[in-house]
Amino acid sequence: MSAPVDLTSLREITAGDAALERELFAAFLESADACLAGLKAGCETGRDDAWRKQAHALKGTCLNLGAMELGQLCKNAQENFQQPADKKRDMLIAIESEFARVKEFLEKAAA
Amino acid sequence: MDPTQTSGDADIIPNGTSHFEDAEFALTPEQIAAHQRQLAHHRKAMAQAGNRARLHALIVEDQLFSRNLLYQVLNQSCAVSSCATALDGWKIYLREMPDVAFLDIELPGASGHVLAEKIKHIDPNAYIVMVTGNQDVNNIQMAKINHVDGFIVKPFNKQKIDDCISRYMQSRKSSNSGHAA
Repeated sequence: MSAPVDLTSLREITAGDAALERELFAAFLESADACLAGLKAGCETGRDDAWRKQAHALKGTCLNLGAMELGQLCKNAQENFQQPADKKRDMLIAIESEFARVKEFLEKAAA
Repeated sequence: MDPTQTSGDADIIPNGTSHFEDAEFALTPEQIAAHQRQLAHHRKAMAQAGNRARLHALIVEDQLFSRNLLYQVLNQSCAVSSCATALDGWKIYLREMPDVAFLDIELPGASGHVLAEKIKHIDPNAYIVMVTGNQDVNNIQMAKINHVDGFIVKPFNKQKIDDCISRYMQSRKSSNSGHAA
């Protein structure tokens, strides 16, 4: 299984500054946590537009980090925003599972 | 706390709300005239300073990570102001008159397109780059209608941002040489 994050692009920006990398990872996790909470709320309340917006926001954040697989899952969630709640729950489970891999990867990279 | 967010005294609209009142962006004719005079004065001073003037960039992006990442790239060559909503971006634009504005499209409240339209209305020479994860026809059409100067699709990287700054510098050089002629 390939790494969940490709840090090549981010490291062109941080230029090997480990402290800056840790700061950016923390910002990613904060952004992603907020979007995941929004996705859960969108799923539970049935607000399709809230779901679409949160999926879109998380997609952009993931792609900018280099978490392409997670970004693709979010893109799928964004495009399928009108699916019923059970389908949304399946998409959310897949996103949360991949997010756990990304988080673990970042924690190791920051150590 | 986001160290890059420099929204000053502007009110932050919570993420995820759809609150947008066009009146919040409204200016009186006197205010528009005053801002346009300030802008003209600022542009003239920038033209006279030429390459000695440090660029000033504005970032309007609601996602903390993407905002910080963009800040890190731009901060290498520009003074940077940043915020998370279109309304804050509008207030900062009027107050600080940045040279280049990077606007996310999907923002809480008013969209980046609305902000681009407002800025171009008061400052037709503004240099605006839209930053988005959605390269769909509607977004491209809106960007064209608003006469924005650049369009970056996420994921962005250092090269894409540097290219935007280079294109801005080139356009400013052309504009300045036009003034000198």
